[in-house]
Amino acid sequence: MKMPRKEKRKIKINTTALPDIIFMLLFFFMMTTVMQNQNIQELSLPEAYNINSKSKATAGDIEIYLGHVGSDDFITVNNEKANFGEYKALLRQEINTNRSRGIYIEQAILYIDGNMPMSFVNQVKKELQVQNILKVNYIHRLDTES
Amino acid sequence: MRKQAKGHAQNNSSIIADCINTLALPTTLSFFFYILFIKFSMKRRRISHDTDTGMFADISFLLLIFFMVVTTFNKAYEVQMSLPPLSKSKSSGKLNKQRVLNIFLNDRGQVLVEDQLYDNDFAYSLVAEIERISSHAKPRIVKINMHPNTDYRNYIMLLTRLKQDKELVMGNLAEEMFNKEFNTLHIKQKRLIAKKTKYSVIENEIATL
Repeated sequence: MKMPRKEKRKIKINTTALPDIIFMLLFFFMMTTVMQNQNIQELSLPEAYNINSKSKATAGDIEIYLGHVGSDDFITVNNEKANFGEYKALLRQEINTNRSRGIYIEQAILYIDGNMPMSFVNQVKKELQVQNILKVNYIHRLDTES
Repeated sequence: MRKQAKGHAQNNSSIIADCINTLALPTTLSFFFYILFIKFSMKRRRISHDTDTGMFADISFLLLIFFMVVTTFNKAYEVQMSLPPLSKSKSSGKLNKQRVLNIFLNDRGQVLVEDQLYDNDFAYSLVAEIERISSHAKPRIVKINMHPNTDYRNYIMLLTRLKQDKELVMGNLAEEMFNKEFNTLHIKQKRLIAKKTKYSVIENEIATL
């Protein structure tokens, strides 16, 4: 007796929508990715031991970058760049602009080039004390040997 | 004459026949190729209309996975410090030497901890010194004296070293006092140890280091 043969059914998955999904994901990540701040790229942050991972900046934070291009030292306060000689005016201007918007700066996040002399850093710290910004965060990279 | 005329006519017809023969072959051939070309190009054009997009997903997946695997995020770390209010920043009175840890940083990257000079490899430990000042009552002070041209990298290295060694001292104290690791202690015990190891940092700029 001949047994009826089962028909082999080929299951075909329609993959036409797959590229759309992948491209959508790709565009999503491309749009939402935040690249490294350009200000940091100009600095060579010092390497030190691991204490705390950097916390996220909030509205009450002021970001200060100290570095040098060739022999010119610069300071950047919340994306406003100037020569280091104008650090007082720039800091005061930024703090006052924030105050006029109702934002009171409580903390300064300092991104400083490892080769900067401490006299520059101390001058900025002194000005922060004058402006009553007493919380300071020094940002550094992890020492690879530690 | 007739014969001559006949010969001329024969010659003419043979020339015409030759001409036809010589012209016909290229024309038919070119026509044939023309037809072939049209047919072929039509076919090709018809094929090129349908682009196979099947591998698009594979390529984009490959790219996506490659970038996901290769991407490394540049992680940053922070050292938190609290500055004193400007009115309190000037120290007053003499400090007991036993409660003070003196550290000097010069502009050549050398570190002087009490009387011991270290080169810029920072392979030093401040545990013993922190333990020494922690055994005394408050105020305990770590005094960082630095040359104005001291590199910021040396300063930040010292700060992180201080914090790291303080954590070691706290761990040792937890073992001594409660026979436990610091992380497993009750919050009140942690506070007690933190109080015992607390110190203030005074920074001083000295031009003649």
